[in-house]
Order: sequence, then C-alpha cells, then structure tokens
Amino acid sequence: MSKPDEDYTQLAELDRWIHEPARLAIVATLAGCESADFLFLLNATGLNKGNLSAQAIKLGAAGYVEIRKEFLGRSPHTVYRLTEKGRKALKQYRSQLKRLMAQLGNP
Amino acid sequence: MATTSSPISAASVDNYFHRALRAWWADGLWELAMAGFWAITALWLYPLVQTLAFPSWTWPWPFITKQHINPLSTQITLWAIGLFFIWMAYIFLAWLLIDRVKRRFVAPRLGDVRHTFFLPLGRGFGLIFFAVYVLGCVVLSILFWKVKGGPHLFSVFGIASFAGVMYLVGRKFDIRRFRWIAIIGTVLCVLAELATTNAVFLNGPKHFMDVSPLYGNPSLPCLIWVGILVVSGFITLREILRLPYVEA
Repeated sequence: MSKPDEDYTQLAELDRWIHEPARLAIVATLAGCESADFLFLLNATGLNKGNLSAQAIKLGAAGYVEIRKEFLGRSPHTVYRLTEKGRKALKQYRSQLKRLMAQLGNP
Repeated sequence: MATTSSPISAASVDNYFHRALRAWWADGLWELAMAGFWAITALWLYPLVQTLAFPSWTWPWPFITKQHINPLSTQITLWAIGLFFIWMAYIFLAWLLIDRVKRRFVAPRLGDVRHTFFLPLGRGFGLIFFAVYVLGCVVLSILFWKVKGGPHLFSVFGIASFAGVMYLVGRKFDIRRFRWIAIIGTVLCVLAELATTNAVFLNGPKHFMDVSPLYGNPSLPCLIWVGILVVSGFITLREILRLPYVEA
C-alpha cells in the first residue's frame, strides 16, 4: 500500500487546466479534429456561449489551444486548434486518470 | 442551447473525442464520395475480371485490338495496378472536395470542423476490421460455393470489405444508418450474387448476371453499394441543408 502523502501527490499532479470539466470537454473535442470553430464546439460540448468562450480563453492562455479570429464576410469567426502542448497534456492527463482509476478499482 | 455545469458527468472524455470524429461522416458527403469510389471500381473491375475469367472475352471499345488472343499478363497486371493509382487520386480529390463543400454548406449550419487526412480511429480498429473482413470472406465464400458451385471471390471481397467498414464505423461512432447500410447492403449483395447464373467457361458471359463461379462479378456488389450510398447520402445531406444558418 502506498503512503497517504504519495496518494495526495498523485492527485495534486493532475493538470488543473484540463481537469476542469468544461475545459476537458473542449480539449477532448479538439483532440478528435484538426480545428473547430465556435459553433461546432458549442454543439459538441453542450456548454453555453459565455462559458465556452471564457474557458477557451483560459486554455489559450495556458498554451493548450490556439485561437484564431477572422471574418467570414461581415461575421466574426473564431477557430480553435489544440496545440502540441495541449495534445501532450491531454495524453498525460488521461494516463494519470487511468492510473488513479485503476487504484480505485483495487482498494 | 442547454447549459451544462458538468458535461463530464454526462459523457466520457472519449465521447467528446468521438463527437469531433463523427462529424466527418455525419452530413452524408462521405457516402456520396464513396458512391463515386464504388462506381469507378465497378467500371474498372468489370473488364479485368472478365479477362481473367473467360478466354473468349474481348475488351470493349476503345480497347478492341485486331489480336485474336487474350491480353498479355503484363497488360492485365498494368490494368490492375492502374486501379490502385486511380483510387489514390480519387480519394485525395474527394477529400479536398468534401472539405470545400462542408465549409460552404455544412459549416454555417452545424459548425466548421476540419479533420486530418488520416483519421485517428484508434489502435484496435484496423485489427478488428481485418478480423471481420476475413470472417465475412470465409462465410460468404462457403455460402456461394455450396449454393452456386464457386466462391465468387472478387464479389466476396467487395461485399465483406465495405460491409465491415460501415458496420464498425457505425458501431464505434454511433451512426445508426451506417449499421443499417452494412446489413441491407450485405443482404442485397448476397441475394444478387445468388440470382446470378454460371457462365460457360469457353463461351464467356451472355449478360451482366452471367458470371464466373470462381471470380463472380464484382461490379454487381459495387453498383449495389453505389445505389445505397447515393440514397443515404442525399437523404442525410438534404436534412442538413434544411437546417437554418446559425449565428454563433
């Protein structure tokens, strides 16, 4: 059996940028494609506009998501792309979560 | 738009990943592109299989020559290899075209999502597909052998390969119509093969349904796939085009 402080360290090591549910939904959706616009993410994640926009900006600030703003005619169009850093972070997060869940399965 | 405070509780991380991938097939454009793929394959395979199966068969216009002998094996090989290059060119062009059409017509309604040329389907997908394909080939070959006196090899490859793809993609990405396409397509293709007659080796085929018991007529299942995909693709696309433009 591992020590309590080791267990806590494992939990604390989870990437907080991704661990938040709304941000995880955005990152996981973007991992399945090359890029997606605001409307697609809105439909795919089920978040509301304000939350999606705010969380995407946070992911952008962390360097996990690249945000490109452009105009299609006169309408603003925002395109999101998962960066290499974001892809690696998601991969690491998944393996950490898997490990933690496996431990939970064998108490 | 519904507000979800914790979307992770509603669906797993994999579901979000799959949702983005699923968008590639969701609008029916891929089915229309695949219909083109099978139409080309049907046209190309017909002379190839007839040449392989029947010594008396002559190539249609404009390939008719004054020779009274069969085409050389090198000519047959080149014809077969040619199909590979045509497939590659078609797949690449179709991918570009789908991307353009999606951006123009689908994106304003459902959102714009771009995919890589090679979709990340997962490690086990190829392996499971191979197993399904081999199993399908074995079962259908035995069936045709028992009922029609020959395994109908090329037809069997065409039926099993595509039915396997449609069923597995439909199952993995929860696209119900794909599973139906796989089932309906398999049933129709098998019934069509069972309705064929066995051509006399020396005389050659009398008509389209008169086939070689060994090779079958692969154009038959190919054209059945074309029909099903065109219908399914147009119905799906029409539903998408009826949706209003959305301002995000």
